[in-house]
Amino acid sequence: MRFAPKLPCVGVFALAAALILPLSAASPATFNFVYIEASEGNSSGGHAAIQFDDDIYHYQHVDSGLTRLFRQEKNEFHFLYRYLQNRPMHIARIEADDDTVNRLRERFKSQFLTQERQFKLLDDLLKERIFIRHLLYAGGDEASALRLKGVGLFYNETQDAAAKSPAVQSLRQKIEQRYGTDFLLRRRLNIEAQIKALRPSRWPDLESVDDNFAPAIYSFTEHYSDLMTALFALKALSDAQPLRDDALVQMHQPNLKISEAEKPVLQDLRNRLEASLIKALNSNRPDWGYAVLVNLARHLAVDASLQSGYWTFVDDFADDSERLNPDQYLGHSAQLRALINDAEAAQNRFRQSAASQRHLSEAEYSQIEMAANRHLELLNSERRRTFCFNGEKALPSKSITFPDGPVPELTPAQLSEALSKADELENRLFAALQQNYRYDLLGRNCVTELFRTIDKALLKPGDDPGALTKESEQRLGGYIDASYNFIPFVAYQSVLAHYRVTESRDLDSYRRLELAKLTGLIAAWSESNIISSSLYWYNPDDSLFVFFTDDNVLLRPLFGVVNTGAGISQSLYGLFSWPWDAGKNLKSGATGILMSLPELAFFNMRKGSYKYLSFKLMED
Amino acid sequence: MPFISENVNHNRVKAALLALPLLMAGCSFSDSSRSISDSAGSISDSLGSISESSHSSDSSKSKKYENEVSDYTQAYVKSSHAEADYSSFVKGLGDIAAKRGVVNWDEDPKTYVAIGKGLKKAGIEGIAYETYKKNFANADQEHMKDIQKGYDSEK
Repeated sequence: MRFAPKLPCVGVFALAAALILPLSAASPATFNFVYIEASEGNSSGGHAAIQFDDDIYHYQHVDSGLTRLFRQEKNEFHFLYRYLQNRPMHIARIEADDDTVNRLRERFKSQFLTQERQFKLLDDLLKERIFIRHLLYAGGDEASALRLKGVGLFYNETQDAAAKSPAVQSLRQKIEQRYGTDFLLRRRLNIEAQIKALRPSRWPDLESVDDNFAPAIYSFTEHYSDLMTALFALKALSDAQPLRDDALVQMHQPNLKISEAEKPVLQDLRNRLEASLIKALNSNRPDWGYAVLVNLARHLAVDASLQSGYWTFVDDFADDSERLNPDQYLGHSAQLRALINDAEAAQNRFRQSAASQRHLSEAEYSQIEMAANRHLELLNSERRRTFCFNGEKALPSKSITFPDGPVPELTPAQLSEALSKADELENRLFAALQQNYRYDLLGRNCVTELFRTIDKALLKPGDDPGALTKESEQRLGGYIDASYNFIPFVAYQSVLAHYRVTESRDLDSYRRLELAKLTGLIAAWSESNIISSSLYWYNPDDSLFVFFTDDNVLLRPLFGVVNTGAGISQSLYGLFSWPWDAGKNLKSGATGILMSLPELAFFNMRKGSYKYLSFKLMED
Repeated sequence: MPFISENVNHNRVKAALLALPLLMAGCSFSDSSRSISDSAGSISDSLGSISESSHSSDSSKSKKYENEVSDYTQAYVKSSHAEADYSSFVKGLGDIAAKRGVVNWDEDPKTYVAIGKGLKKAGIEGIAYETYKKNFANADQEHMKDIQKGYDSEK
């Protein structure tokens, strides 16, 4: 890490005064402008972000052709870009008065929440259209997008019956004691009546998309989905349905043995889950069915733990989790072992904490559940089996597609009218979003939108737009025109030159941090290429290359020639392998050539990326 | 001055070279093969479970939850009216709590304290505030007290 303070000369007295002044007086408000260097992959032109405390906001190009603001926790952002993507990062700290930093922070937050709502509205309209078509024409490929979350923990798509679970039978008796013997039946009849009476949503006017938070809608499809989920929750209780075999994760390993100190903690948790389940059954929150299913699943997992003496968990990987086959992770066993150790250590730490506190909250239990799921899933890599890598959820979410069952009593004419309306609104909203957020390579990208959001924050509604430059100069030290600063690197230079930057930091990428620990010519040579490197293991997500050129300026063109050759070779191979790999090698080879060409002119882009790094590396 | 002009020239060359890949692929792309709204969560899903187990104290996670609920409430009431359908609001709360692995968020006093803070930040007062308070608390006296506590704690 290189540190380059941009401090005015201060005398001894000023320094002494700064040290004895209270923190609030000595620390003016600041925010950071973050620039991430170019690399192969999804942001080869570089990337930029803005940081307020632990929150980092950055615009990304989403696959609908729009730019969207994302908010990420600082550590996650650094791990993703500096470690997994292996890119150096540059941070400029900008000083401004409290009012300015608050305005900026609130503006970015508000923009983030507004977009979340707008994109949810678009997603709701898409699902509404699919659902109505499903009702009209029964089926269709698109209908698989409509799913009942949580139901997949107990039922498969064909809703096969299973042997009754004594634990669920016991719970059902307690429910009947509390609410009456016919409670589940009454609740079911009530839900079915509600489904039949459902009517298509009344959508808000979507003529324009502005910076205001769009009105919230509880859509027809969402309402139907919640009611159907509730029906399945009632059915699971009535049928005394056990958890599906593949929804339960259990291994009788010594480290999963429940200790004497953990037993009362788990018994208490089981009682609380039972109480929450019974309460949720009579709740009027719209998603009470899902709450019942999750409480029931976790109750059964804790019960199974206490019965067997070994921790047992609900599988919390989503249906569409990324699965890795042995051929994809072969050669990465040391890195996967580190991830296994991390997950096991985290699981043990949370368990020890629960035992010492003699209490396990729902959030804490979820942490153990996640760490254990991750641990057990990663262990499959050591048995050379396919395993889930990404896609874990903090709440179990296994789902099934919308099944046959009660449907709203609507005539084909009513459905057609609703379909036409949803279709029209979806198109209108998408057009409005395109007008506001359409991605444009030069005019509207990840960096131009940061400056435009800053501009909006500086001007109050009704202010003269002509006053923007002056306002920016006054508040930030200068004005940066988004139109001329569409390249992240250029934008960062402009920030350093124009804004009131008090310090700047150059943070190395993971590989360069590790490289700095090695000394000697032999080490330098062996780390210069992927064949003898001990710090990089070829990641198939990267195009084929031979030499690293980010840390070797003099030999860069020479290495670039070899890398270009590697790219050409992969492309040629890709021409032949096209029928088997759907053009993957050809595309990768072409990318490799494009990434290598700048190296011939002493310029580096490719850094090499990682897939299996431990998060602990960053903490260490 | 030679240093500055050399530096400027170097920057121009670097900018020109960087423009090439930008023209080819642009800046950061978020790949979401799932639904549009899921794309926001896709990054966190990939990293969340890794980072979740390593850092952040419980108190910082609770604070983050409270801030998210409070911000969400503030944004919601600004776009709505006191008599609006609350189902969508409640579903939004469920989505925020789900990131913490919590499904029984409606039993957690922190949820209601944060709602109170959000109402205050949104500048809701008088009858409108009382209506929101009653509706968000589902007329539960304890929850209403927690909302009031949050409302009073916000400056």
